[in-house]
Amino acid sequence: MRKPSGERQFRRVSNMKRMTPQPVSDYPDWTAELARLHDMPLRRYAYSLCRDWDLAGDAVQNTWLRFFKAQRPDVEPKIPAWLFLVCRRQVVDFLRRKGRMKTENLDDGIVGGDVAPSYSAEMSDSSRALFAEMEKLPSAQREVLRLKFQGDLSYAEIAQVTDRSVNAVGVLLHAAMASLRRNVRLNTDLTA
Amino acid sequence: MNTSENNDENTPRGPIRIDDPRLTALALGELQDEALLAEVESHPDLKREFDRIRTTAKSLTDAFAEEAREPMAQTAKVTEPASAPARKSAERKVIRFPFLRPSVYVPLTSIAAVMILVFGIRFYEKPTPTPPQPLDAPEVVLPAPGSAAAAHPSTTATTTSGNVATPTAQSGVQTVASTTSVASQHLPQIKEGTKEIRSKPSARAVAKAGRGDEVYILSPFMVSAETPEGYASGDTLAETRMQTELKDGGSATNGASRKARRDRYADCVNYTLASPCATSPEETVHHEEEVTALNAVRPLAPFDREGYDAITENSFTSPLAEPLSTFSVDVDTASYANVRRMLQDEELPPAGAVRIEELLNYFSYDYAPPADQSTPFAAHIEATTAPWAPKHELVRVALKGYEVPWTERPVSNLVFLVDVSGSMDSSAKLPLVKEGLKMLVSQLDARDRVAIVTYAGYESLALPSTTANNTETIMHAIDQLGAGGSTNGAGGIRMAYEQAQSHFVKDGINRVILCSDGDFNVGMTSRSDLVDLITEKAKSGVFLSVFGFGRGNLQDSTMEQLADKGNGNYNYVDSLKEARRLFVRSASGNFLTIAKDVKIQVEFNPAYVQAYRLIGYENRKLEAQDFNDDKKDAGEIGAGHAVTALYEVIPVGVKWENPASVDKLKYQTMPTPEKTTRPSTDELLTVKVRYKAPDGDKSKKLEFPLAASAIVPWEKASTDTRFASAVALFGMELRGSEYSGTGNLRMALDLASQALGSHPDDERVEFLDLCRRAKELNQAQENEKGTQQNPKREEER
Repeated sequence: MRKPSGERQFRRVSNMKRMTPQPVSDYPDWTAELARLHDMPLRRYAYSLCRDWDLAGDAVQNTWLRFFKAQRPDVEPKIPAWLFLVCRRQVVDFLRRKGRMKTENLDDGIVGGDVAPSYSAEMSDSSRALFAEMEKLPSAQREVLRLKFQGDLSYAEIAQVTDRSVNAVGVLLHAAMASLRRNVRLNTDLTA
Repeated sequence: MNTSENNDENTPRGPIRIDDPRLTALALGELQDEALLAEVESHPDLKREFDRIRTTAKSLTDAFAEEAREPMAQTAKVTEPASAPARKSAERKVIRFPFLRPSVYVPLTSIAAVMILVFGIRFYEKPTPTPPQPLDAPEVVLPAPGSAAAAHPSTTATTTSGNVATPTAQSGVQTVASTTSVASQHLPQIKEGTKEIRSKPSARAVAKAGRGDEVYILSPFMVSAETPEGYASGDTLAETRMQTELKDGGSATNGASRKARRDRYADCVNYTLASPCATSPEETVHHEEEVTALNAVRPLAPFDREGYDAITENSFTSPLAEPLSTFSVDVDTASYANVRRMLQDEELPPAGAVRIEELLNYFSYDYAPPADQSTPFAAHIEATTAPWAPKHELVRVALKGYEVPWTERPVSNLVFLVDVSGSMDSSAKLPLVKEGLKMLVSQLDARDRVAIVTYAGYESLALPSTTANNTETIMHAIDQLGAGGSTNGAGGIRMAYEQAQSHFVKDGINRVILCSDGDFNVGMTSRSDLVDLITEKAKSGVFLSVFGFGRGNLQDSTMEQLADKGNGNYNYVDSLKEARRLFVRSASGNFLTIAKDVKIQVEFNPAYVQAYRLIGYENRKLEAQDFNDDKKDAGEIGAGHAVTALYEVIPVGVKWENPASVDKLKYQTMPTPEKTTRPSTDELLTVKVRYKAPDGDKSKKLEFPLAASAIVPWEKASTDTRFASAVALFGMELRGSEYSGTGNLRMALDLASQALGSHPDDERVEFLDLCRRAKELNQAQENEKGTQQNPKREEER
């Protein structure tokens, strides 16, 4: 169940009084814990979508903002997928507003894919090789991989976040893993 | 969100197969179906695939876990828990969250404060606390309002208060710790005009700020000091920040229209770091910290910050018009490494980055060195047919210098001049520099001296000249190098040469080894000034080796010119492997000069040559009279170096239209081959070489003629010539040359694979791979152009 996209509308104070308000902001400890867990993954995820740290930062900030406004019982069962979903929407919004996307499709808006992240020397060769191979995948597959293995979302959650059917997610993941395995085997001497 | 939702109508049914997405779903634990699992277990090939998927999944999980530990994108951990007095950061005027009751403000702002602190701490630059001055005019943190830098949201904030621990002092080393490097990414919204992170910014201050005052503090949860509707305003956080930023940053941008703001933001997105403040030295001094932070923040600059000069190809010339072709030798290899780096990153290099002479000279060939050291080089000239234009000929001119094993080198005096500006902070730069230098140091011994000069905003002597048997000291000094600040190259260059000259060894190696990405943005920034400086310094007898690092910011043309004018060579280091090749294997060649100011002049015989074209060496060309002019600077050759040049020749008898038309002369008759050629010469051409001893001033000349009958058919040509021709074709194709005839990347690949020789070394094999990549990328580019009309979205494969 997704939040309606009209969630930007404010509820008036009078409305608020009618419901039993349990805004997320009432729970600082819980919030801080979630922030600790998910802020960085969200940033990485947002960056992987738009290749721009500032935009990613903004998107994640906006995500937290919305999170704060939300009602705990509504969002709690959906964390972390909800966070990723909102974050993704933010990125899409940003990119669309900048006029970089003609359609809803995030793939159009993503900057080239030719700006690959660089990793420090501490990262192991195998991981680095994996990331390098991941860069070569289509952006849809990349995104699904990241959501699955970094965000640890289920297929259904990924389907929600990326606005696809669960079946499509399954096919994407399957194809992504197959390509990755094949390419890593071919291009490095890692066995995967 | 339970697994039963997986069973869409479209899920494949029936027996599971290897290419079935359900197999992956099973392996990832998404699908919990006992029957299917049993089926997988019972088929060995399915089981194998299943296990492989599991292994890949594990590797991916590990890789992401490792990525999570990477400093670059890491969020600041909440290590400083909120001791923050949580206060009202939101006031009704500023945030309209109508449903937030006052009793909610406290916890809300406490979290806000936590975040501010946590993020703000990361952004520390100055340790000195300044008294709170709430509504001061802000420090002008941005050089030019309206410039991309001004508009960049994350250029805010460098000064933070003293009431929170300061992790990084603005030390002379300008080290940007990895933790701080993270901060600004998520702290764009904190405007540090107040010089203090006030955990309890008074509502009044904030509200005041909202009215267009110059100073304000935004918490992450404040959207705009101005927009009363807060989040619902439809503005993004960035845009509202932009608005207030601009108001701050300069009066010129006051009242900037929304569209202008958006455009500027759009610019910002593509903006990268390297020289944000390249306006004037004075300004840059102020903005050092900002630049540091900025430099540190950007993990990668986009490709278009790299600097390449355009190259105009040499065209076919008739020897009747110009019988002499003169050029300076070049043993740089940077262009090949750079092109390789770009192709491996799946991008086609710009034409200006492809210097064919450097591609040719990257490889090692089997040329025989001279018999003894009295002549510094031996020349090998071979002529064959051109594969991409069968009626044309190719003449390969090669010079091979005498070898000096590294162990037999003379005493050396080296100065490492290391760029430690903020732009060197990425993993492909300073760490690689350190590794490379350490490799070199491990090759040195007591007869060598090493000094380390670093330059960022200012130059500093990191290690005074020390004999190289003190390996530990030197290694330690190298390890201590840290990046941060702007790039005042001129100061560094001066200090390095001073060091080198003060420890000058006669008849030894005196060299400055410059490691940089080439982006000089402080002090002398104009390329011509730097070049003048280095030309002057070159007269001191100290040679130069320039090593380029990094991507996205590589000022290739600057570095090449520096090496050129500084009596040196220029190489590009993109990996440890390349570092090993340059600092260890080719150490003799790179650091031991055996001949200076080496020039080549070829005279073509018009009786046999209708037209000739030098492939490459465009920015090495000299005038004919420069050959005999000892004052003209030319290239240096190191021990064991080989220089290869290719001429494409159109022989007499082949139909050729000279595109350059000249009016018939009025006072002289036009020269014709019969009238002008001296009789009894059956030579095709003569190659003349002039060189000086490394410490000499007078040049000596060598001459090597080539008989016209010496042309061999392509199949009989040596592997070296054939391989070199393939490389030249590769270079021409990458440049989109109009002279490549029937040649293309496929032909280059074929020619190269047939010319690997009996012991193909790694470099040649790697070249084949590059050819392949280039071909594919080219293809992809063509296809893209073709299918641009119908973008087919391939969501599922």
